[in-house]
Amino acid sequence: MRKLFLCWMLLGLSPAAMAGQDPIQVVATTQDLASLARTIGGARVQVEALLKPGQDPHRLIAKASHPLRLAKADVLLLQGLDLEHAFLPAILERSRNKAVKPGGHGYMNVGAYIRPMEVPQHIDRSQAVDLHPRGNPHYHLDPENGRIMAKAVAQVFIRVDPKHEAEYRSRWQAWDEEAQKRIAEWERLMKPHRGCKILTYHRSWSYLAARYDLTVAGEIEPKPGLAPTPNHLAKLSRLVRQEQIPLLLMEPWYRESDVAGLVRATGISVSRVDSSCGGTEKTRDYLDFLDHLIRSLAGSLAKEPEKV
Amino acid sequence: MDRKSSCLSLAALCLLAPFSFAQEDPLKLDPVNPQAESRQSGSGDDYLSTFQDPSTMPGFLGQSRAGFTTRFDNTFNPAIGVVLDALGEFSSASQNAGRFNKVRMRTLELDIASRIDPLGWAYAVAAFVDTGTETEVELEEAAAWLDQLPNNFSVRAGRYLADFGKWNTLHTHDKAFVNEDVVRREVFGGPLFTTGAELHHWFGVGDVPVRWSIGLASDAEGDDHDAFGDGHGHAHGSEFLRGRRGIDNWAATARLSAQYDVGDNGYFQWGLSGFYTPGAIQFEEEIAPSGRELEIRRETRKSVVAADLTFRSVNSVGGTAHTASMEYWHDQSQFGEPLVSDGHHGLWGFYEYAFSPYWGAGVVASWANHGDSVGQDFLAGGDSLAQRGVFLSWWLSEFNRLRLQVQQVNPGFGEDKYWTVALQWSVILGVHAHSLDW
Repeated sequence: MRKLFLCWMLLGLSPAAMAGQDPIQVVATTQDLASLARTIGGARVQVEALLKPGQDPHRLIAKASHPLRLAKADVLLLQGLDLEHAFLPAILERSRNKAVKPGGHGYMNVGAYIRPMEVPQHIDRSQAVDLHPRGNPHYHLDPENGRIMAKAVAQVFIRVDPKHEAEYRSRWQAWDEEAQKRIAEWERLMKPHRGCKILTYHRSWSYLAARYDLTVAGEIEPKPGLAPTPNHLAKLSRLVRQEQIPLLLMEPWYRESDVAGLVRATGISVSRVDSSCGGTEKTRDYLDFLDHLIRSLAGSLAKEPEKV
Repeated sequence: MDRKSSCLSLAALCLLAPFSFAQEDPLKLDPVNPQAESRQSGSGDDYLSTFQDPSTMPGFLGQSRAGFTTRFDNTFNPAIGVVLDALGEFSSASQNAGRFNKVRMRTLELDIASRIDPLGWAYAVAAFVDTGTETEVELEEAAAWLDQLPNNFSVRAGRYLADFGKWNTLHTHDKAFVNEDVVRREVFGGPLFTTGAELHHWFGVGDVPVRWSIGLASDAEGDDHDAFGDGHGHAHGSEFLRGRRGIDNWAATARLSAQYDVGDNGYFQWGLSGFYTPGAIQFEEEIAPSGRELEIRRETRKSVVAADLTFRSVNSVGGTAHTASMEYWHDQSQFGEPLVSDGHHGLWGFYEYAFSPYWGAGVVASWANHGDSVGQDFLAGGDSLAQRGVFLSWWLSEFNRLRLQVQQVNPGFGEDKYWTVALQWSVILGVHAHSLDW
């Protein structure tokens, strides 16, 4: 009877409770980092993302509840490279939690481990409204960068909770093995499309394009953060026809009406795809999201362009 | 295998063993962007087309990395920003003639800010102001924040826009509409600037953030950058106190506010504010027995209470947004001998709909009654001061905004109502920051 009671006790308790500690409170700025944190942290962590699925990082309101959430956090995961410029500095300024401030034990700026693309040679507003002085921050769309992100997440968990290092390591290892398998599959899928030209709405797809040798021939925004102008759209229209560009990638938060004229004039296919995970039940996980994105990209590029 | 080769193999194994067992940790990560928290500087034209290690870029490493700075090093210079707010107001009204039918640089604002040390930071806002009837250079704000006090307390000291109501801490060019509301003008003479100190504190009641502040000021004044009334200059220092006698006639301010999350990207906020001083200055005109006109300066007791409600919601898809806010103010002053009570009350609010990240439109209205007209119908306007307007804003970019506003003004005191059309162009140069919307 005593043995039975012990078994029941052991089965009935969560891993965190078994360890006699509350789960690590993790605040991630993006859904992608939140997904990696859930996978690598397992039941030892409780994760919240500031940006909700499908939310434009430029439009998040820095609300009073955000510092309150950071005040309770043990770990802050941020994409860095100024992606969170519109909200995180104001939130961090109000929060007094030293553990999640720069230099703190639980602060992890993942962007510091990434080789950034498109670092502006000179900081000048004539180049862009959304000017990222440290380089393009949308690096999570390159699966190899995803592997670096996962390592950074594992590292900060080990730093904050060294007693359970073995657990974090083994979960990270399992994730990384799965990621490598999928990366090989995605390479195979995208190989036939090397050298393809695409258009994008915002300069957020550069890492994905570089990974699979796609060429971003133009962007709907004349400069990052500027609304499209009729003159710029007319130039793009000529470019699409001349170069036979088959596909335009744009995030769902941009208005389809902005590109309706271009689509009518050129027949270019528009793929409105999330640029981070969590948009649907099937893309809640970071690897599943990349899988969905890359398969739909390969599918779109394989289609014959519509003749106009 | 002979004995000699066996010995050699063993020796080689012994020598190489430490290297073969010292495998690199697969989780090891080297920062490739070690300056990720620092800034670059420069100006020019193009993006690098592909990967480049930023640490190899010119200007990336500051002298401070050598362990010292010199008087010519700019490493610790304050951040500098400039705001230009140009305004053209057109009207056939005879009132405020100095300000209408011309284009003026209403404010050219210079903002500087820097951390002082790990305990706090300081900022200053100086402005060149053209009200339409006069120009001047003024120090709008110069204050230091001690923001590392324990338990979410912080202190601000210096001259600053007082924490009174939801919108008083915003400069006029940052507001959603062109002109200040008439309630603020009538009660304080414009946005309320105080010189003193404010204690701030925030905490959570469950998931609801609550914030309060109390302030003490030896000097308080309203400062509006638009000439108002019968063209005799703007409301700068209109009627307010200067701490002359001692701390017993200083002004006190207080605010309590809570904000509730609404959906993924919205909030509802309420706030209560108070202002009290026994030493406000009031000027009264009297005719002396000799027949001369005299201006009598009296110190009055002034207490103002205000309640505000604000709702804001931003939709990520398409960048649409709703903002609605309303404030009710009640001002009770006592002046003269014997003491006479003079009450003002006022209501103002606005609603703005951003139908894209670049375009927004809305309505703004304000009413303020005089003591002798308390009880008059706000909506009818009566003899109270009133403004009602519609505005359309176009953000060419985050740093460049054009605004058109059409407004009807009832100046009160039996004067004729009139219409104005305003075109405002505001640009931000240099450093900018997004603050917590609280």
